[in-house]
Amino acid sequence: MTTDVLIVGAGPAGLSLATGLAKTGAKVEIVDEQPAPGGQVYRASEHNAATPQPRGWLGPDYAKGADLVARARATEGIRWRMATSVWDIRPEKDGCELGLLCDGKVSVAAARHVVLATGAMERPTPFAGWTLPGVMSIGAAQTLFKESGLLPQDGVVLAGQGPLLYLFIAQILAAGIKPRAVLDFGPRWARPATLPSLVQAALASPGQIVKGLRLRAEIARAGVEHVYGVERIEALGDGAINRVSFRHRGKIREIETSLLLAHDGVIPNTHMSAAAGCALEWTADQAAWCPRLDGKGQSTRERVWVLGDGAGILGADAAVLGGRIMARDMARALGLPSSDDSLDRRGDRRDLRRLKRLRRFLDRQYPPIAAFAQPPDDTTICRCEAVKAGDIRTIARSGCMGPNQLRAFSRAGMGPCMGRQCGNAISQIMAVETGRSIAETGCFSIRTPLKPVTLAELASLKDDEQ
Amino acid sequence: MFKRATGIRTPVVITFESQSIEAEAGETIAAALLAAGVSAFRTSAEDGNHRGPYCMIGNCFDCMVQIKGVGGRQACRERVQAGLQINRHQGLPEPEDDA
Repeated sequence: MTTDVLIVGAGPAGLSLATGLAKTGAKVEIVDEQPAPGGQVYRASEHNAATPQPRGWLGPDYAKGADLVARARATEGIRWRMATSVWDIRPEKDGCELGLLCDGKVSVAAARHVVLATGAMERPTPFAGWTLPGVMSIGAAQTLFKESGLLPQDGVVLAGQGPLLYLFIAQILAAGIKPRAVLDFGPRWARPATLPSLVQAALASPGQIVKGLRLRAEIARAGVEHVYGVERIEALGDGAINRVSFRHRGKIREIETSLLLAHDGVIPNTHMSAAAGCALEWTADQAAWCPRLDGKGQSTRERVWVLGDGAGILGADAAVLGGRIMARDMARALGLPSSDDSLDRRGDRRDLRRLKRLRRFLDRQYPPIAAFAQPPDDTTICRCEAVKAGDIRTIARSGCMGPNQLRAFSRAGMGPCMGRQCGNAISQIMAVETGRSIAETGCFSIRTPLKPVTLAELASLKDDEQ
Repeated sequence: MFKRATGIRTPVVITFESQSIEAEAGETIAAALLAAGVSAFRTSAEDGNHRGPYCMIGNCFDCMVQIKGVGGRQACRERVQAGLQINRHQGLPEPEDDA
């Protein structure tokens, strides 16, 4: 029997959609690279549900994930394909095929519709020395905390801006860790231009605004040095980081550390939607590429839908609401009886609108850090191929038409990450250098294989699946 | 760099280069190595410099290691099993000049 809907990503969006759809009787499959559902935000929820720590340190928002996962697990009619990578996506007229890789074996899955619930990734933060071992993203450190109970040691330095910066510091403070310093690129208070959106956000989601202030108060109470308005950072060391230098009010200071964690908000993970041929558009509010979608989440490719933060950043709560709403819409598209009527459709849409107002404030309060968006010439942009900002500018000045041509000239975006880390920055740097808009400049086109596949793995494809 | 907040429940031993490392069965190889103080996972083919995990969600490929002789494996995704031999992923050498 054909699968009705194949969902890529078992985070809040994918889990919510799978649960809602399976209840209508749809045949649902869900694929995720991780061995257990939860996505990045609720990673290792099942594992952590059994023990008081680190769950307690991670706080109440993370704890919500355990219920979401448990509800999906308890729903019949979902086929779970965990620890499985998607390396190929081929939308066709009457369905969509995915090339999968699990435990060294390749297989092909087909469904009438595919929903890409691939979530968010951290906006990469190019600065001098960011490729040194011991420099990581804050999300990376949080992943280690959630999944493996690993904590940064005392003396860790955190840099960047945004809600996750504050949340993560509060989480490690709760676990008894004393950071050396917080190098905050953001302002101490709301920017004057963001005040109207702050008022809107505070009216729509007062709890979230209070939570943000509470997190900052916890950092201050713990006596952690918190420098606001940092202008630039640089990681220094020979073979690994041993100190960070930063500029604040024109003065340069150095702090010794073996671990520097950086963060500049999150952007939609559009790698797979790009590979499927969905049109992407530059979304100025979020300073990111987002797939162009209709009001229901259908992309410009037939049979391919996009849901959750992969469609535009709104956060985990919005992803859950979006999944419930899409489940109703898709059930109708599939000709299935509408899902659980007890669900409050109007309530979901109202809650979603509130979260959008909160996001509008966050987008305005934390626009991308300028020092990372347009870094100095000697900063590495493409980590895989060690291509620097200056190389990109030189090629752009010589008349290169866009990121795809630049890729051929410089190899930027041709390494194993396939441009996941450098794509955004390259579009922005080229646009500034050529004086064109980012939309005109365009972004990398993405092709199969989306993840490296060995010949031995490809050879495992059974004859009848070829 | 990092320390374990909770002890190892199911200890197994893996080897990184020639160093024996006690790790939690089933955790990511990246977590096991970082907890043991290893930060250099691979050598860049481009500039020869050491690299280590950056994103931990399978995007950046800077955590690549060699597992049982096969290079290019993402340490943030591959899991610890008893007795695994892990080595640094070495960037490919420059092709020899034929001229």
